[in-house]
Amino acid sequence: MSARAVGLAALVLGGAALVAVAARSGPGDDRPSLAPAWQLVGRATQTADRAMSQASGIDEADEGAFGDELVRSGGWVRRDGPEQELVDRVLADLTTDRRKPFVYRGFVADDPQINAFAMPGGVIVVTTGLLRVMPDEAVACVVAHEVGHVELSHTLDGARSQIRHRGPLAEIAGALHAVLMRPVYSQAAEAEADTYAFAAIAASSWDKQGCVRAFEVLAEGERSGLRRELGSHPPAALRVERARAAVEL
Amino acid sequence: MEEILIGIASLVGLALLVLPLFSLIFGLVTRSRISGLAARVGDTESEIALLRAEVMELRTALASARAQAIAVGARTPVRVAPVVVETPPSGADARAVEAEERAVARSLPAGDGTVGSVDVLGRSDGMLKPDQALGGSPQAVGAPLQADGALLQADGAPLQAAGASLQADGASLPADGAVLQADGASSGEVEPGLTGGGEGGRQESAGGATGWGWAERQLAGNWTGILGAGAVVVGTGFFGIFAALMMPPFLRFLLVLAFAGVLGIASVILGRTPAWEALARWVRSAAAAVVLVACVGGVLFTPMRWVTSDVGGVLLVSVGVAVNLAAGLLAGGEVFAALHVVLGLLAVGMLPASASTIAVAAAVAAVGQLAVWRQPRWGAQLAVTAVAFALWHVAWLLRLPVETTDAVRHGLAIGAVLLVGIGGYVTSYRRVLAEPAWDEWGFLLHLIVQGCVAGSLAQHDLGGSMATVGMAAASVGLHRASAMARRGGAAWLFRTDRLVALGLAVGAVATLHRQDVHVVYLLLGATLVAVGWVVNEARRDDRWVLGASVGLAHALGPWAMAAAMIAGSPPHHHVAALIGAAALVLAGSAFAERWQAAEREDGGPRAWLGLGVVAGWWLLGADQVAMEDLGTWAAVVPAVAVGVLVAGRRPWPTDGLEVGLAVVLVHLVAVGGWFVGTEVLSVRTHALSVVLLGGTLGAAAVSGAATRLWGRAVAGTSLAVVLGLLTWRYTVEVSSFVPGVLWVVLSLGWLELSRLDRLAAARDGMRLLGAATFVAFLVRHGLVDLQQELMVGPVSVRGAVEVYAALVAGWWVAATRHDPPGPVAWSVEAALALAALFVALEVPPAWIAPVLAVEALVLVEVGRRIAGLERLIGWAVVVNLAALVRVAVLSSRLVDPGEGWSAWTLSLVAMAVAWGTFLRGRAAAGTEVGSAWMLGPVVAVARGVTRSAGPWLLYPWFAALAVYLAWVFSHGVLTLLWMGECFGMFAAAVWLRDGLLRRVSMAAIFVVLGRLLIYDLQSSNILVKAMVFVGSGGLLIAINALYHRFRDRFEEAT
Repeated sequence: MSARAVGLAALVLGGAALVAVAARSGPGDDRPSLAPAWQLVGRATQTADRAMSQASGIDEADEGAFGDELVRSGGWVRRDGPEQELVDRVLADLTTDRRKPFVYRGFVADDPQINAFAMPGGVIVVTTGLLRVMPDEAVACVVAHEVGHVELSHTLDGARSQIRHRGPLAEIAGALHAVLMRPVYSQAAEAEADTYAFAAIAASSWDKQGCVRAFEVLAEGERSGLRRELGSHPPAALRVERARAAVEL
Repeated sequence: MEEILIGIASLVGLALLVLPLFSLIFGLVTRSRISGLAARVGDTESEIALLRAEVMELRTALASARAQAIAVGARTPVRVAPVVVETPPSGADARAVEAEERAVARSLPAGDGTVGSVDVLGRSDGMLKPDQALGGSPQAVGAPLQADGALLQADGAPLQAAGASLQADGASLPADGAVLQADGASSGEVEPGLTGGGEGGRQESAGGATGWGWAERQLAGNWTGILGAGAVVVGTGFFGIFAALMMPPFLRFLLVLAFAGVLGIASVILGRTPAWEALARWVRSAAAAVVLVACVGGVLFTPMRWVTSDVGGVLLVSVGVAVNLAAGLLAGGEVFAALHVVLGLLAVGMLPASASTIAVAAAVAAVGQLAVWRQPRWGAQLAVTAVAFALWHVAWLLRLPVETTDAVRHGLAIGAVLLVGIGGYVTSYRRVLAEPAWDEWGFLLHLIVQGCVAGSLAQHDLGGSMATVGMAAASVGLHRASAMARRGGAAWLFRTDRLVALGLAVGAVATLHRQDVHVVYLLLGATLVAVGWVVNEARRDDRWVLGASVGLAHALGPWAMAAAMIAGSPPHHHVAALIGAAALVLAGSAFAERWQAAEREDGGPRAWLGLGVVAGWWLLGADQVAMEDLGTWAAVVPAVAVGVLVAGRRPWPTDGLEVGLAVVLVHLVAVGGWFVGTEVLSVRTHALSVVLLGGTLGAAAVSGAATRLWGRAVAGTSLAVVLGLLTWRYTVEVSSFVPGVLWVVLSLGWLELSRLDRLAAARDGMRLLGAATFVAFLVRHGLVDLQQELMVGPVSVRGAVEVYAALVAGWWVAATRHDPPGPVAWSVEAALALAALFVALEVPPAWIAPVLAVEALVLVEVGRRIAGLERLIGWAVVVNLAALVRVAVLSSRLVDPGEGWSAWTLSLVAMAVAWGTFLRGRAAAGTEVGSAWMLGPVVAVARGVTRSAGPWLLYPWFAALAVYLAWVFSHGVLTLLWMGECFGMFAAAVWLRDGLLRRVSMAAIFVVLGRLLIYDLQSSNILVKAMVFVGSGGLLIAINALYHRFRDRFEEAT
């Protein structure tokens, strides 16, 4: 038998084996989605954006000071009660290996929306709406995701970008950038923060299923269609898939 | 205490920087007269021998001409291209040359205008002057008279050589070796260099190399050592110079002024001797610069500060700037003028930002532009002035005190910018209209001036609608100016300004976002502006402007529609999308009409293509609208309208293809029915499958009746489509990955079928079908598989599919790599794309850089070793760049809470592998790179690597390292690190015998030295400062030692 025949047979058998392996993984989601490819494109724009933002000369020490100012000007104050304690406990658990040279601060916002966000300088805000619908381990995953935004400098890059986009021409560029590229970049950043969160939760004592649960909750209110594909965050169904994969690892 | 030390160190540092600069520039300028010739003393013997040979040849040629002229008895004067002979001032060789010339002169009859003769000029002051030439008049007949490669041809017609001017410098020439050169300016009808043109060119070239070599010898051989020692001294003696600062500031100021005075006097003395005029100019320039330094120091430098009031400071610096500018402009050279404008602006910029400083700066720039008005050829001066003022203006704004009023911050500054900008613009226009022909430099210059004005004005955020109004006004102004350029015959200027005006008009619309105008309307407005431009420009001939307008409309319109779709609820957004779409159709239509009018032969298809794209977008938009708010009719009406518009243009150019299209349509209908309401595999599904396969065969029969080729194509395509669909329909419920995998296997099947001899006639078609099936897999993989995170144990199914598909693509590569260039050969690129996906999705972030680096190494090796795949070397460059960018930009940011290997360590691994890639790239030298279909740039890169790997693989490596160091390490020690990198570059250049890299390293050393003197002197930590100085100095000394150790290699490489 010629080498070509052996090679061809190996490829065909390999294909058959792969089909068998894929069959074991289950049916999966056959709906086409632009989001993963969109995120890949976003990595390139993210790199360019980050490279430009790093030229702004603002460093992490400035970020810390910026965070202090945000807390002061935004009127964020710590609340008493179990919700604040939960956020504090989660933050303490998840920032032991932090790389940023400032202390993380968690706040609870009285808002019925299911939301959480991070600001420069390690300021993490979680809404009461989220805290009410998510179990503690899911809250931990959400907070880990937000810590990821800070540790991965997404928030710092955002602040730098804002500063870079001062001035009319720069504002135009910023507006166009926001319209054309920001969703791409944002999806890439969100996916990056998700990956960080999976790893952070895995390295902590929190239940890894919390991430699956968190994204399942988020998926319940998600929009559909093109807005889902090109939105600021990856589709929640996709995030659930990734969380499940991370749990299985 | 520290300020004083910094002041002293600054002075020493500035001296260290200025001296070599001055020395280098001075040497470069005067090298042809003094230093360059002096450096050639060692070559005098050979030069003189060369000269002797030239003169002998000349003598022979002229004697021949004389003989022929006498034979014919003609009276036509002969002119010989002038020759300048420079010989040493004394010595036997010089005398020998002179004797030769005299012999030549004696051998020719005296020119009396009646007898054929060629006269050698008499001499004056050691030089033979052209105006002393006597008209000889030999008439040469017959064969060309050739001397030293130049052709003197006469065939009965008068033979003339303008200004016979054999110039011999004779015995009184400077002792700088012999240079034989042609004076093309006076050579008239005869090609420059009848006797010495080729040699003259050679000498010029050698002179250029000598200039580089000289500068390099100075820098690497001398100044690295001197500066290194100086830096070490500054570093180690940082604390020992305090005593020198005991003098009062005003005395120090006077001392510096006195130094400037000495330089000024020296320049006057030197200027009296013609040979030293160039030097005198530089010395005068330096004196003016020193005056400026004194004036600035008198205001700003602590050790010299004696003026403390703001007004006094501005006045004193203005005096210094005035002296400086006067010296620069009076020197008469563009370099001097540009240099002094920059120096003047720098000096003013060092003062605290205020209204008076921007006024002075604007005046400096205006004077600089006035110089260009007087000397229109000074394009570089105009560019330097524009860029310098723009940068100055930015710095001024940044440094302006917070309490500054808006009248100064914006009003005065805008006035200054407009003054300088309009001045520059008018100067640029005047320059272009004087010579309207296309000129790359003029184009660049124009853009620079425009960019500087725009960039400066953009810094003034006045709020409200001022920016909109300003940009719109600028757009209108440029539009009118472009009309002037058109009338003046400067087509390129018209094009440039018209395009910039378009950009400004679109930008003016974009600024409305500050008025809270919704982005849908912003994009729509910008689209309409572009469409208006299209309609306007369609009446003209400039297809660049028209094409750009259409392109912009097409680029913006879809985004308008997409934004309208994403924006959601308000129905008027969808109406806006429809308006945008209609505008796009209008733009495409105008473009098509114009293009077809201009190019009836081949314009149609291209125009149709543009129109088709537009129509597609319109339909998409209409479809979205129909689904959302306005009902199905909204999709139907534009669809019919587009159909009428498209169909009305000309008959369908289908050439029978409509049969195939009809078949495809039937398929689509069948497949549509196949899937509707069939969630499970039912009897109906199986029945439809049978119908589909039968229909495929029937379609093949029908279409095959038209032509054989189309029959095969339609049948094969239908079969491929049906097989693909059936595969998907019957396996997708098992796993979403399975259809894709089976499509890959199907593509393999098509490939193997194409290799069967009995199907040889359909070989190409089958390969195309196989490739199309593989492409279908890629599309499905991108849209469906990428989102699957399914795992089987530790194995990512997605990653496994990618690896498998890449292996099949590799099989394709092996089977088709000797095929003629075509789309099938892109299987290489398919494999690379899959590899890239695998790396991006399956490899942990910190590992991506080293993995990419290894991939690049493998690609180089494969490309080097396997015939037909040489372009992989080009892809290796791309992958290697990706790895380096990853290292430089991202690695320092990677954070993984559970990380083992740190991103920092892995970055170093990636850098090491990338170095290996460079070494293997060097080994690819001389590899013949075959062409590839539509991959010209990649092939060009691969060929570039095989010619010289350094610029493609090594230079980016050093660039990435520099960026990596900057972003990872403290800026306090960055100079030391960069100097270490410079040392590495220099050593690599010596090792590789790479002249370009060596020069790059020298330039980098210069830059780092600048940082050492400008940045590190100001750094607050004196210990770090001392360490950086000592370390950098030591490295400089090491470079110096390296230079002297391997000097012979430098000669080879140069």
